[in-house]
Amino acid sequence: MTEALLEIRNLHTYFRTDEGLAKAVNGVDLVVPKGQTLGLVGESGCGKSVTALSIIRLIPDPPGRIVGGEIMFEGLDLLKLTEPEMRTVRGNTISMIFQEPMTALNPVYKIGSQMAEVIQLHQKVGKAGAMERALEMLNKVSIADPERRLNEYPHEISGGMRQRVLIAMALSSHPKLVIADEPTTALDVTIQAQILDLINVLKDEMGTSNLLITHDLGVIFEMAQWVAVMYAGKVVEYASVDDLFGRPLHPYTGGLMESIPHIDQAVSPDKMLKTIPGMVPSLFEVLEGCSFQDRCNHAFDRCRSEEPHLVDVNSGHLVRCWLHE
Amino acid sequence: MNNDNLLTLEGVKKHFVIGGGFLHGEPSFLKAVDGVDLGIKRGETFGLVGESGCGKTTLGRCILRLEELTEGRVLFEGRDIMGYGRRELRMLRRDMQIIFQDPYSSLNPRKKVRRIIGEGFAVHKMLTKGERRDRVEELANLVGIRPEQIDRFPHEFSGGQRQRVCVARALALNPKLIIADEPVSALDVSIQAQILNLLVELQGRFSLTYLFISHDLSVVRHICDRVAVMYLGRIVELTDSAKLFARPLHAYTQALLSAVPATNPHKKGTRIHLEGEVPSQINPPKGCAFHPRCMRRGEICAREVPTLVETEPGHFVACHEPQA
Amino acid sequence: MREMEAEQTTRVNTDSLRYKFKLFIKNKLALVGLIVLAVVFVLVAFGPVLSPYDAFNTDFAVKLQSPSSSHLLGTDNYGRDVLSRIFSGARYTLLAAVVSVVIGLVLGAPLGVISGYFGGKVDLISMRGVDILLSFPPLILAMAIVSGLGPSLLNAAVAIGISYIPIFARVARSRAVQVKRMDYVQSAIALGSSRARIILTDVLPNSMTPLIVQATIYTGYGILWVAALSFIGLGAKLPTPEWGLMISEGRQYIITGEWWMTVFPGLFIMLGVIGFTLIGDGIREVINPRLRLK
Repeated sequence: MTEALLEIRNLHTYFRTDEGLAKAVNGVDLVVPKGQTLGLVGESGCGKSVTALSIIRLIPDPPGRIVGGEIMFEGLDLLKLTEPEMRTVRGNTISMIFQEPMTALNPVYKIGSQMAEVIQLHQKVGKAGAMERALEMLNKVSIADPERRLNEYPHEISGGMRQRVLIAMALSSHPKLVIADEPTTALDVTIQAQILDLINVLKDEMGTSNLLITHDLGVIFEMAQWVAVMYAGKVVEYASVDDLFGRPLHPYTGGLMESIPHIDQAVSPDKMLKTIPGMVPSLFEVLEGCSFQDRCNHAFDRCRSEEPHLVDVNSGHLVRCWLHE
Repeated sequence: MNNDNLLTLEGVKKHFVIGGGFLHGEPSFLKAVDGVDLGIKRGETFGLVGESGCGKTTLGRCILRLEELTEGRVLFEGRDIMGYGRRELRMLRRDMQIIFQDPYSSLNPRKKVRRIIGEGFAVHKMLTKGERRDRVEELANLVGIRPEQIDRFPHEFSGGQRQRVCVARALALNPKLIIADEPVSALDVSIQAQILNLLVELQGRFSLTYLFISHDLSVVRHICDRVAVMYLGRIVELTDSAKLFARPLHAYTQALLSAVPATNPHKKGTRIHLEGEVPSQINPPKGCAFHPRCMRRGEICAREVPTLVETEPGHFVACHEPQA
Repeated sequence: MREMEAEQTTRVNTDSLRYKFKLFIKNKLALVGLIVLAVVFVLVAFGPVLSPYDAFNTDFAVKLQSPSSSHLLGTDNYGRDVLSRIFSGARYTLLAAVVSVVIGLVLGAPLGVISGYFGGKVDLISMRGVDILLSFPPLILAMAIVSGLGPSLLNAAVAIGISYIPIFARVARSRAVQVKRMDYVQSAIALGSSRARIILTDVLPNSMTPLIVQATIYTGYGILWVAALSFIGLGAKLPTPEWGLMISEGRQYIITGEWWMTVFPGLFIMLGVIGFTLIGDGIREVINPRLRLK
């Protein structure tokens, strides 16, 4: 297995709300291998976005706080860095691309100045030099007519183009790790395809490692070499894409894959999908045993009393389940 | 053909006027729907797919007369509903219902679920109080809402549960047609499956006809019998679900299908790359609306608008050069 | 943060009045406002009973006395106890302010809601009418109306109420325009609901919250306007112990050093305005949580 660029160990991020303490991330372990894409997949409330924000330490405090764990990156524990030290990492060696291109760009500034600002933060160039770099980056992300774009405002360009601009900004400092949180969810299918292809091309060209967060398993299978499945604040399965697709071990993963309609599969005559009964448990609940027990067809006694650990079952294929431990 | 059709659309157009008026100069038109013909058979699930700006949502709203048509006819059970007056329209509304995409804005936060589900009865002055109560409880049970939840407010429910309430509300008046506008797009994957199963089950039970609007091709493939693909206000291809996904003939459909991320990592097909962005609905390209981005465009495509033609039995394409 | 919208039913009922009240209390300023409001309410209800002396009883023997142990806030030029006058006068000022807000709300809100919901010509005409009303400085408008109707506390309240109509109409209209676009309104139309029904059961109930905030804050301003009109002689008539009128009566005595006849009523007016404004802000905070995660 390749070297790890980023390693998260036992991360806990909690939020103090009026309704109680929400354990959004409740013991996450994962590894982003160097030069590869790790897909982090799960449904809403599972903690994937909070995990990403924890890595670059953008958790609003109050009401949230990273209460435990380690995030090892280039030999340093990111959680132990001071805020000024963290700022040299953010946007520089670790960049993030958010879901909503419109809200990630400031509507009152031109694209050129926003890009230049980011470039100048981390690189020693003057305004003119920064603009040149910005132009270079826009070309790299295949934006047509890049000189014109530099002088336009975010609302003057389309959603797909805005996302390209964000990618350009994220890559302008040649980061080692790019975190993309649902980068294409807000885009149309054909535009999504363009953006995903672009991300892949750039990853190969620039040698970045990607942490791709999404709820869409199809995107994961297209883009990632490794997958981590999250449920209720924990990683429940971690494997290579081939292993996960060929043999999902955790009942949740299996259930998820069976409940998705596939565009390339024959339709069952009764049009019924196999569903996972019930709902995701509340973030405020403290459950004894495995968090998936209420919805699992294979649950037995041990599942209700003891929480399973994430164990390596098959050289690199990890799962958190008593069926396999 | 008209006899089996529950719903028939003929030359439907909806143009929105933008700007113009006193002191504002010439108005421009946003051509949301620009000439749609289709027929939906009783009991079928008819899918309408397309990306943003294709006009599918507007078309759904026009059918329900939540928007007024600019041109064209909508025939429900053979009768033109555009000319209906207030009273007839009210009666018609019992036959056609809608389920919206956003479960968070489709329920009045100040009304209890009981009242929301039973609103139709109050509006149409049907049934006695006791009968309404029973019927609401029946409907809630049908969609999987427990009796003790009926007297709660919407904010106490999850997104999936709210969609169930919307389904119950839509069913209350025993409609013949339900327009589902992206009913599962805002839901988590595992909940999507539950709601889709619910819709299928109810269709069998109550002989419902669905117009299923969505941008999610996998879902459409799964649940729809026939599918129409829309682009910039027009239908570009219409056929059986299976045929559309196996052998699409229109270049746009082909590009669309190739863009969907494959759920099988071993089956990555070649991706068709479309040039450019989706053009605006205010100034659509002349001739075929898709031609600027089409990899097969010919000289005729910039001049003439292609009409929807039946190139194979049951397979309609609007293209000058349809090819598999 | 969308991440937090997990598929669960909320544990705590965040919509209950009790919960909202607890949240309200957390805000220290709002708490102050609440206390002020409580005091005001007690005065309005029990003013005369709590007054140590009869507010109308003249006693020239003790006139113009500065605050002392027997007359905590002093006496005025007629020998009347200032404290008693303030306590007994609370109800006049306050009730007039409330009447003005009620008039503004009852006439303005429906106008705004209908205007916002129907749009088009109805909206155009109503809003131009509202603009015309708004173009007058409120005090000038109120003065004009009172001069026409004749000076009295009630007429002053009515005049101020009329100047409030456009304010509530605007707030109601902007909310109605938002609500109109919501899918639940579209759903109601699709069900065949009549426009009246939609406005009464869907639009109006969901437009209440900003109106309540405005109503609270403008009750506070109402105190000020009523006092102002009485001060210039267009409101309450002598010998009513209305606070604005009291200031007017006492102003000639400032030069001669008898400050308590103007300062104390002024102080109470100020407290009343601040109190209502703080409560209004507090309510707004509860309705629009900033850091609360939902």
